[in-house]
Amino acid sequence: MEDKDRLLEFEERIARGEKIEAEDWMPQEYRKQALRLILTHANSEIMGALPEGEWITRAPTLQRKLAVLAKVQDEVGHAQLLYRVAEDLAVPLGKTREDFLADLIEGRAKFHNVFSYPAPTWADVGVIAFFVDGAALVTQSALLETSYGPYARILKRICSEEAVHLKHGEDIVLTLAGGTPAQRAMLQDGINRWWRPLLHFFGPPDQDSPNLEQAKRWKIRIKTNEELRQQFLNRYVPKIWGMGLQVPDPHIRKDEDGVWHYSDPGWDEFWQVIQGHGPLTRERLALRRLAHDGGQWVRALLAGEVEVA
Amino acid sequence: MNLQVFEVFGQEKSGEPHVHVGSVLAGDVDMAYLLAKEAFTRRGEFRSLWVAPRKAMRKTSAADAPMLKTYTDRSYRLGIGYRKTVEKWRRLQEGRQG
Amino acid sequence: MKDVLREILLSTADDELILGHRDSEWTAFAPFIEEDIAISSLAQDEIAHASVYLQLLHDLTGEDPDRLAFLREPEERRNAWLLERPKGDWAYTVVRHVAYDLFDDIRLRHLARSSFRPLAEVVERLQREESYHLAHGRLWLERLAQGKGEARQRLEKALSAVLEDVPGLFEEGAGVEEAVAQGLLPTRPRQWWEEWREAWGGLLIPLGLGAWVPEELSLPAAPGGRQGRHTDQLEELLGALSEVYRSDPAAAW
Repeated sequence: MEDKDRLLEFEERIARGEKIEAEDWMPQEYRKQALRLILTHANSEIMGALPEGEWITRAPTLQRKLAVLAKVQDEVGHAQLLYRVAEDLAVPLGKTREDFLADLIEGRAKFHNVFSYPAPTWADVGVIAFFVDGAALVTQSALLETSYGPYARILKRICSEEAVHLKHGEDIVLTLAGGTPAQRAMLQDGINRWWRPLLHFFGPPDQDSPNLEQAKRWKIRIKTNEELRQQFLNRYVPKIWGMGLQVPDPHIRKDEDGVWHYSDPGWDEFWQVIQGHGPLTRERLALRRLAHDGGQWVRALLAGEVEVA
Repeated sequence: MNLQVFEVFGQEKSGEPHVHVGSVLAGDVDMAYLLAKEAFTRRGEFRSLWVAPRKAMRKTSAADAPMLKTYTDRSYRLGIGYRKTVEKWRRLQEGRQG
Repeated sequence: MKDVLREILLSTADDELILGHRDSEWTAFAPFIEEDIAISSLAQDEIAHASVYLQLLHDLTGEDPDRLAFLREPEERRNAWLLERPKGDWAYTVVRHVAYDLFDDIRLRHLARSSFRPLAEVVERLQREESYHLAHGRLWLERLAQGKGEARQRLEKALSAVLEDVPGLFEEGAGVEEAVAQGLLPTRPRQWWEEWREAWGGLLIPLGLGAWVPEELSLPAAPGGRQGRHTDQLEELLGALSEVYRSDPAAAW
């Protein structure tokens, strides 16, 4: 079959709502775009383990210690699922997990902006689990209908685990909100620091997002950045107000059509972070490299590539 | 240094089939089995796991997918191919009464 | 009787809590992603077990489990030194785990016969989770033993380092005679040594590691962890463990 006919058949399958599997024929560009999306997600999960991971050893009760540990473990587990899907998708390109992780630590791969920011207090653990994971759940739920079957399947599991993380974050946040003045102040401070990165999380306004149109036509992605951001605001602004805390934006409001208006968060910082110049991008990648390099001899041993004594 | 892919199948309840739940990278099947336990059943989702090296499996490819379809009338293999029995019973009984 | 039981419960809880803490330092840093998930589960099991023992202690004395876990000073801690050592490399982590898991397995079997029924009952449940730990450790030890070059060097270094601290596991804390007399501890910890040596040898000898099977139990002359004397490494660990809790022990977290 000619590629032109294959493309036609492929697009018909997508239009019929069929899912594409790893073994199926797909346009190069579809493979590239799906791979980019899944890898950004995978990289974000493994990098997302770091800011919260710093708090496993410091969590303030036995129950919290177990919960943070389990949550970070789930993030690593999501990375495992996602890298496996990416690895299978990348077989024709001859790329493996080792290549993906090398790309990540060398700064050649992208991950979500939020994981380049510091998490200096215990309140950050709550803010990350409640708000950042909440933002992630908004984008990931929107992807459940994605046309790439293996991604859609693991997203079901990822979303159900993220929903638990949200509960865990909500519990931390509510405990702090109902706690001592110092705890409340710590929480408000956390919300203030994360607000802008959270608005950035969904990506720039849609006219600046280059791949979106085709990604939507092929049902790799389903919703626009702004649609997702609106969903997030609608869910979370009332929660902040409900705790008696401030949204750090004097102009935030919902109009009579239900549209949220917010101050322009400024996109220079977003582009800086995405291009590897976030506040802690370099330090976090160095930690990732430490783990990767430290485990090299173990992986070599298991892969049967042991040096001879 | 590439580890191997192992496919993982899990059974949720006694009496149900093992279904494919994902895959892990590991050095060998025993390690894959122990790692699959934590990768796929940390919340007690499965009561039994099967693990097999992917290279020992053959999967349907885009090229041989057509092989799995049927191209001529195979209704004689399905219940639907025998819908006329209802009509035949009716006619037979009418004939006996008449 | 309460004081004697408290010593038994604290030494067991502290071993588990401190090892769980060390294991958790691998989360996001393990040699590869699949193993990262597995070691994080081991860490959770250990911490959860510590929490069960501390709850038993709470039922006995009314002490708060979190306060016990987070606020005790080093000299009030009863874990053996082996568990407070930094996480080291993967070989050290595996070898320490195997050495400790074998010890813990033996300890649990003895505690299952304790005259203190609540402890005996709890132990039966915990034994099941520990069986995964032994399977995991044994598999890794086998893989490491097959290695040459760097892997072999790391394994040998880990075996030597771990063996130096193993006797400390069998150190006896205050009130052991009384505990044995009352049947709270069916046997003295130092009597567990032969069982441990046999299990350890049973694992190592077939792997060609017989040189690392010690003959005698040589308990250190100076007091160790079971008597509340610890290394700086524990202090460093407790600094992280208690950081937030200590900032306001009266607050709800």
